[in-house]
Amino acid sequence: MPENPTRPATAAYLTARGFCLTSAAWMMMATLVGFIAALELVAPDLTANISWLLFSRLRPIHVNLVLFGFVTPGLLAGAFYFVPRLLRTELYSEKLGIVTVILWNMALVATMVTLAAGLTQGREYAEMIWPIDAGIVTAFCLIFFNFIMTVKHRNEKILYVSVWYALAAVALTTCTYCLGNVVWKPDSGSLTGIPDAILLWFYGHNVFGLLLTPLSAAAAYYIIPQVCRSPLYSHTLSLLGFWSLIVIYTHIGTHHLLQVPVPTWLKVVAIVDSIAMVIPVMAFLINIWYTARGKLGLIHGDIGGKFIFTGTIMYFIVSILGSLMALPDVQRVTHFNHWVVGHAHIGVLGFSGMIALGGLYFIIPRITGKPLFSLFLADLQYWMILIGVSGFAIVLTISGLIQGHAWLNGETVYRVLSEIHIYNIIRAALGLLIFLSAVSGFYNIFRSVFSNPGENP
Amino acid sequence: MYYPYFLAYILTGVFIGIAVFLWALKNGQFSDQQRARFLALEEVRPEVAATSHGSGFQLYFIFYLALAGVAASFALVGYALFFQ
Ligand code: HEM
Ligand code: HEM
Repeated sequence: MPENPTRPATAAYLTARGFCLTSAAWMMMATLVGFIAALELVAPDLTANISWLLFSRLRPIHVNLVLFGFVTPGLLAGAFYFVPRLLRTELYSEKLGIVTVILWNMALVATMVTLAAGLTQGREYAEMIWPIDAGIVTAFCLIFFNFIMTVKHRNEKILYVSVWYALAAVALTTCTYCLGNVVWKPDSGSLTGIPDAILLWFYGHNVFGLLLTPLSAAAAYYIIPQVCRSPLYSHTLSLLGFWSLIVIYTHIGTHHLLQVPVPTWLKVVAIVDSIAMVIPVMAFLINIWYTARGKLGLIHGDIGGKFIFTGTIMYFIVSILGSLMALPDVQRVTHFNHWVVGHAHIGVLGFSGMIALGGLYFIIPRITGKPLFSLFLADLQYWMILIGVSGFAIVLTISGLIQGHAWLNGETVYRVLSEIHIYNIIRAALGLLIFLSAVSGFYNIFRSVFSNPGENP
Repeated sequence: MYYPYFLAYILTGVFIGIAVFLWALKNGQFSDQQRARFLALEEVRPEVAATSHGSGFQLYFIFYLALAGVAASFALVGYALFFQ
């Protein structure tokens, strides 16, 4: 691989490789569990009497594995590649990075086993029991230490916006994870009453807003200019977007609790800031889309760029949806039903999941020095996921509207269930597609990293 | 009474945020923005060949797996709709 003289040639990016494999492997497990859960919505008795396969156990396993098993490690793989490169130095410690990867995977295995066994703290996105929380927080601390020491030893004075985002994501998540999981109360992992709900959703929204979103933005800001071979449209605008995200995103968690007796002023803050989210969202999107203006051909020709650009379009959709869903009148219909699950999949899979995969396919040839094992398979995965997630969005939105209106009209539940049956079936079918794309993606990524027959260029 | 703790947390956050911002300002992070635009580009593009190296039978296998998936998805829909 030709090397830039200002860059070290020795870095093997072991940590990035580790997170690549972690992400690809857990994507299979997470989507398989999601698929089984979706089958149970079609046929509720499917796994009756098998306690560890009940919906109530599968759902948290699926959710935690997609968030912490697939998307976050995928985005971290990218960050472990581009943070040192943007700082024109090497990662502070690859050894520490490998320890982090191992710890991370141990926490994921423990998460799956304990949740399947029914050991849960029962708070959404914070189900894991204390020892696992401790493992995850330690992993985040190690990553932060590794990054900040890399920053300290940097040869480039200016921190590119991706570095800001990556550092902030890791630092803020360490804090909000501790808070949201109430780690100072190991037994229950919770406060009591309404303050617990407020704290939980402060954390819950921060998982998307201060972990997935900044890491995804970081990857897009690094990769899109490279794919388009043009400089970023505006670095100042990107920093504006960064600081406004930090200020605004931290306040919107209570939009999950609009129909709960939390103080009204807090709801008002959450709603106003949910609308104000248009500032960081558009600052990011305008910047990326202007950078790519007239260069769509190049993006189309690069599989990583293609995933990432699609992710930015999904970000636009999910954010517009989100701002509308934060309006109380809209939420009277959309809350507590499949509409929100649709929004969740557009966000976590369509936006950050797509960007995570794009990051993997972009960096793998660069860390191995060989072409991807199969571009065809990567492209196949792109289309399977695009079809899957768009389909999810459509059917979940339709069935959500049916559920929401039925509830408003005071209809009995069993009549609604038959009306949404068909949508549950299509959802399960699309889920199968996504699961199989995860299998082929894992095979492709595994072969690309380990036994790649490709020649060095 | 959790609010004093919440408040303390918020204030700590605000102060750390302001401190980092001021550091960035003093450190010149907001100057030289024109050069910053090019930072992601300073890499010599590794000339990675864009060809696919998968051996024939493996690719076909995965391709058929995907096809089987699509077929199974349709079968699932069909079965649930018409044979219940
Ligand atoms: C401007 C940006 C966004 C706004 C204003 C927003 C707003 C909302 C609102 C109001 C809800 C609650 C709906 C309800 O319970 O009735 C929600 C749920 C959710 N959002 Fe967003 N959203 C935004 C972006 C995102 C992004 C980028 C992601 C993913 C990375 C995401 C992931 C989710 C998820 C997973 C849920 C479901 C939470 C649950 O389990 O109930 N959102 N969002
Ligand atoms: C095999 C494909 C998949 C299927 C069948 C599936 C299915 C499901 C099901 C059944 C739920 C529970 C919803 C409920 O409570 O009613 C769920 C929730 C969720 N899934 Fe998936 N999923 C799949 C793939 C994914 C992927 C790839 C991601 C992200 C990368 C993802 C992210 C989420 C999230 C964040 C939630 C929580 C939603 C909420 O709380 O509102 N899913 N999924």
